[in-house]
Amino acid sequence: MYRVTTSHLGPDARRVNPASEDLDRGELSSAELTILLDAFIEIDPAENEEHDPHVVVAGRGAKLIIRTSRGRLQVYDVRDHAAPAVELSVAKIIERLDLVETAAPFARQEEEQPPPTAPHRGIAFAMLTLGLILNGYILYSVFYVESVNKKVEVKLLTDADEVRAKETALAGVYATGPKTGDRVIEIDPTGQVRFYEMGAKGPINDSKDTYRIGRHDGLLCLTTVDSGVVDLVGDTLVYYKDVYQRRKPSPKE
Amino acid sequence: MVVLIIGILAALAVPALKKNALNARSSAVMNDLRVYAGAFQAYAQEHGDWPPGGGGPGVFPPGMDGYLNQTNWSRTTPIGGNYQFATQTPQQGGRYAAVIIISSTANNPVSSDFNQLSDIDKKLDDGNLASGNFFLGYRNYPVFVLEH
Repeated sequence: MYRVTTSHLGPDARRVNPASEDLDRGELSSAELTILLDAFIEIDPAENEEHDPHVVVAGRGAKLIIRTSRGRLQVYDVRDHAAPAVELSVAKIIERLDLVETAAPFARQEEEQPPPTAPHRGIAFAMLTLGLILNGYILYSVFYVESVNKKVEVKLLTDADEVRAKETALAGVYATGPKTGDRVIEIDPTGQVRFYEMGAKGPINDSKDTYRIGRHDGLLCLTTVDSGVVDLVGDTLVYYKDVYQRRKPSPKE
Repeated sequence: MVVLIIGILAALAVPALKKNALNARSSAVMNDLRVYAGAFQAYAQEHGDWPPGGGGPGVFPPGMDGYLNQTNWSRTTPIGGNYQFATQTPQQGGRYAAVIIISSTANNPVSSDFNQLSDIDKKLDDGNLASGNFFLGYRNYPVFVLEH
């Protein structure tokens, strides 16, 4: 059985009746509905154009709005206003009204697509992961710089007495030579170290740092915060392969 | 999908951009060093000796007016730091009669990028940062030898 309402139609549905807004025709059988729709097709085209008569039919599987045009039935799905009208025969309309389990035949394509399944989600996740890894690698390669300043592993002396004795023994001024262009390292027993170059008008490239005493590769050394490692070889210092001899204090000093 | 596409595009573009920038800096440093070396050698030919050293980084060497552009010499190098002319300078256990050093200054450190410095060495010298006329000297500052 089908619930039928007509709009702007006379009692036999063969003529337009502008005064009849919505007329509930109750429950009709498929035979009765067929008679009604067959009559509806024969409506006068001019009146049809002017008053827009139509039939609303609700079945188990669908609720349809049916209009007529040039002897054919144009069917709209109430649940999908955006979908275009589909031209169907009376038999097909009844079949559509009875079709419970499937979606409307003229529903939008995307509504018919099944929800994403596990494999699709897996692919999406894999692509996202790959994208993130690739972006991570790019960032790493942009910001990573292989430095020429290699870090030296230094094992610091821990015995306070030994450290104090070494600091006192090491304190002094060391230089690569006495001329302009030579370099000087001044070690203070309080843990300060000064590096400079003898310039034409006094010290140049002058910098100060702090040091701690340790060992690397069996050698005693000073490890600094910013200036790298100064090796102690005998009574000399070795810094970037240059040998710094201890300078004897002058009579004035 | 968008993340993946961005990643692929970046993976293709970034290394090329990075290499271009590195090449440009190397070429600029190489050009500077060749021009400056020519200027110091011209001075040495005319005066029979190198100009006096002992000036700090970015300090215009005395007597080089007319040989060297003061503004260019004093500006930051393409790899950071400043150019410094030095004579009788100890470097890596040896002593060199005349060199141009690219030295760090306060708030203007010279690059420690191994790839960048190696690229300059390849273009200018033997490609080895421990030997030749372009090498890493005191504090791993790049040194270009004018006379051993």
